[in-house]
Amino acid sequence: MNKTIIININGIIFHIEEEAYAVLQSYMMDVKRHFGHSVDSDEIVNDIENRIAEMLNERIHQHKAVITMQDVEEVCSQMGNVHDFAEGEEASMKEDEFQEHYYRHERALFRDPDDKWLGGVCSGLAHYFGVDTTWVRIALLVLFLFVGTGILLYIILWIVMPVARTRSEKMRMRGEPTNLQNFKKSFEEDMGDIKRNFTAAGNAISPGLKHSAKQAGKVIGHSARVIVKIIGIFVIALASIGFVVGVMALLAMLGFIGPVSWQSFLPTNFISPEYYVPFIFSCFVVVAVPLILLILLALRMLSTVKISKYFGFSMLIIWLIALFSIVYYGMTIGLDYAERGTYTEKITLAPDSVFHFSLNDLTTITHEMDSIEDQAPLNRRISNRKAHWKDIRAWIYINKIDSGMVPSAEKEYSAKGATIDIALRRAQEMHYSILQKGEHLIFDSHATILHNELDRDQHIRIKVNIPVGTTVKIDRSLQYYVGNLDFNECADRYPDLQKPEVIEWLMTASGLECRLAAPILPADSNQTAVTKDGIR
Amino acid sequence: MAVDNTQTQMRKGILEYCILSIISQDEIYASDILQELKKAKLLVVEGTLYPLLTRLKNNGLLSYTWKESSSGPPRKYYQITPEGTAILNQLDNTWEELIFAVNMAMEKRKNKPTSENPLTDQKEGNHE
Repeated sequence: MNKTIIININGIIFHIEEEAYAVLQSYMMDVKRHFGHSVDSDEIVNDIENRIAEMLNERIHQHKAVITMQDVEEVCSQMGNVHDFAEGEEASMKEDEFQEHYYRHERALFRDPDDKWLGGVCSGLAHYFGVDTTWVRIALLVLFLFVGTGILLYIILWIVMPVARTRSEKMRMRGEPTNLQNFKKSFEEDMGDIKRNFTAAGNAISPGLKHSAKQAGKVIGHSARVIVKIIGIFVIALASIGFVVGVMALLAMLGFIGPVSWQSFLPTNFISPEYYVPFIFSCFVVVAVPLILLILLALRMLSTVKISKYFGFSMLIIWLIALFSIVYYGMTIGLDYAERGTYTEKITLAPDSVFHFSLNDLTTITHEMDSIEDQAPLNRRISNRKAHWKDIRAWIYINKIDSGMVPSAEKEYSAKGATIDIALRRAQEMHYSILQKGEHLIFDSHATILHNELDRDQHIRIKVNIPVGTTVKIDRSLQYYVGNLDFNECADRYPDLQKPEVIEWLMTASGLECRLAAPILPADSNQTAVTKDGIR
Repeated sequence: MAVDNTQTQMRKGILEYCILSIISQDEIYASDILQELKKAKLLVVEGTLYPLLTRLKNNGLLSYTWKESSSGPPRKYYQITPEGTAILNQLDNTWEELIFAVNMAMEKRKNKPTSENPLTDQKEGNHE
């Protein structure tokens, strides 16, 4: 059972076996190449083609409708090998040799089924570039080390490179016959255009000029092809790396690879889970489709790989759909940031003459691990115990109120939403706690929001109102959360060079003041201390 | 190798003459020309014929007409032009001269009993 194809030679239709066709085609290619440079090449080739058609026609009868390999081989041997043609044509000999030499570089990219580890891709490439297979394999193995680019490249090449099945394909793979005819033809067409333009301008063009132009064209064409190949390989390599990175990002975003904590680490919480997957996928498609097309395009430049028109169109449509969904979801997300809602909750504190501010660090676990593993962003997420708080960092402002008034704290939550109502609801759903235990006031480091709530630019601001005359001790860990105090200046007044764990302040009529008087020290020693802190 | 080359040169020289000669008899189709040449063991593959015919046509010695064929595509039938006939006559003369020359050159060798293949190769004749 053999696959047949239908061909048309000089107006006669033949059913021909695929393999036989390949042989016939390569034979005709040889013939064309042989006569390529003689003046009457077209006529001679036509005569030969005609005669082949006639001979094949003679072989078809009622009980035999298909041209087989045997037919083609017999016809070709009757017509004779191109090298025997030279017997009658001595003039074309030299030219033929020149051509043979010149076009030797022209090879087709095929996988080599006779020399393979996996799919014969490496050996095919080696044939194509005329190097030893070992080098290609080493190069590809090196590429494997770079995020597996080699694997992807190999798979793509495996898909797009046809396997060299027939003898003629294997010969083309090794660069024995050539098919630069198209390139030459297009170049000659260009030259023809130029010639016509010249003629139109009233200038006769000498055959010598045409000839030298042809020669120059060959040289230019050859070096241009080498450059194009190098560029093509670069494009393929870069696009493949981009593609691999894209795939990794997609898998990570969808939670297939990487530690679980990655997903909450990735800044994707502003995307609603309703359309999280399609949104991420659309982003991937928008990036990946051009990369795929780029790779295929470069491969087409390098070889005879063809991209079907339908493939290109469907890629374009998929890309546009993905782009539209990104725009749509993007607008949906953007509109959800339209309004800001602020909600304030006021609590009264039990009066005391001394308040000791300390921090309930929701990221405590992290900090301990930090010193060991230095993985702050990842480990911080481990503390998502109650809810998830992301980066809603508290800012504490300590304000003065008249003595005798009741100390209090105002928690000002704010968030954004499509409407003020939605924004307000989001603000109200945030949670922040201040715990009072006697003189101890314990502030959360971050506000929390419900686990299924989206990132909508949430903020938390705490205003602590302290009556004049109250002593305020503030833990060093909390000082980075207090927005309106200069700790450095006060810390420098402490005698030891180590930073004090607790700094004492006193609320006065003009605001908080450092409990320690400025030490009487030589100006320069004070200076160094400031510089030291300044560096930190 | 040298023998091959000489043979090729000799064949090449008379090939055109033979083709002209065959065509001069009647309007003829390319593959029929080939049949004749094969019969004469002068040509083995058809592919050689077409470039030659094209060259002769370009030199104005031949012309052709297309004729319908009962089986297959239309065929090119070649015929000789008056110019071709004139050339052919000249070649006839040349051929006569060549035959005379070769015969003269071989005359002495023919009488030598030691020679094993006296008549097949001109090169040997020249050599001795």
